Amino acid sequence: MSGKDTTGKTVAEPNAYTVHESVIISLARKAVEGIPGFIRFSGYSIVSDLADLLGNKRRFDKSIVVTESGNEVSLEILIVAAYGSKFGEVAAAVQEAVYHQIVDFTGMTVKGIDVVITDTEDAPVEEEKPEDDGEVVEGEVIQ
Amino acid sequence: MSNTQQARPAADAVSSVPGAYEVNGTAVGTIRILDGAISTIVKRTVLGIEGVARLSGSSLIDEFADLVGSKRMLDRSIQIEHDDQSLVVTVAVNPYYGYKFPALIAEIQRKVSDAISTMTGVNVSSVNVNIKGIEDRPAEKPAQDTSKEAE
Repeated sequence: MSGKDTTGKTVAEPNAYTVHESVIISLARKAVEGIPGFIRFSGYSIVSDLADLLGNKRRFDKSIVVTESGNEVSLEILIVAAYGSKFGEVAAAVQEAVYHQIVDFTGMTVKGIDVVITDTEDAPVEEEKPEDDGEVVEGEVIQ
Repeated sequence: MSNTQQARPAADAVSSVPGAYEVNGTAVGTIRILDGAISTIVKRTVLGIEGVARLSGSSLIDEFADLVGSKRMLDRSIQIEHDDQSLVVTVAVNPYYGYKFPALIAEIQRKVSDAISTMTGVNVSSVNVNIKGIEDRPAEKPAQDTSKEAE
């Protein structure tokens, strides 16, 4: 990295570049995968369209909204958190993951990541438990 | 508290939660929780309490509202108002016949308040419970083995 500061200072550079909004969305999606307590992005389902139809004012069909201006980017991310989890911690983990993902991969300045928790539901059940060995076989270590 | 950003008032039906991820001491963004998520917590907590038959209001309509994802209709039985830094929750329930109201209501109030503050970190200043009806228990499950013997 070029020692660029991420404290919000805008650095005017001669060689500007742009990163398309969809790339930022993809990066954000990838970053969030596997965060404990994160269930899914909001607005994935058909039902939200139906809710829209029925007069629900807010549109949830876009779960990640990206606003770019120059080298700065801000995001609003709508998620569903696991029932029973601490929403604040889940949201902060999402912010952390997305922040680093975008800063590391794009070099852009992240101005803000707003997380909106729209609902809560149970995590999908995984029933691929091996026979009762009593051994913990959780191989997922998230670095 | 030292945060200068103002939580937007009730109009947006949103609760702001502190504890955003920080970089160099500055929060990276805001964390907000929509009322829909809080409604879900209330609903699940209340329905998990023994003695509660269901939330009041037309269950058919509420179920449809759920299916459709509309939280507005769910408001029939759950209302959430925003105080300064805390929430006022009003929930309408139908208990089963045979449960004493004061104890049941106290349990609802305690569990709803606990569940919301644990999950969201938002303060709950009061939980109002309206009993709108009473229902008979469904036929007991441990109906002995009379049905088997009847065969």
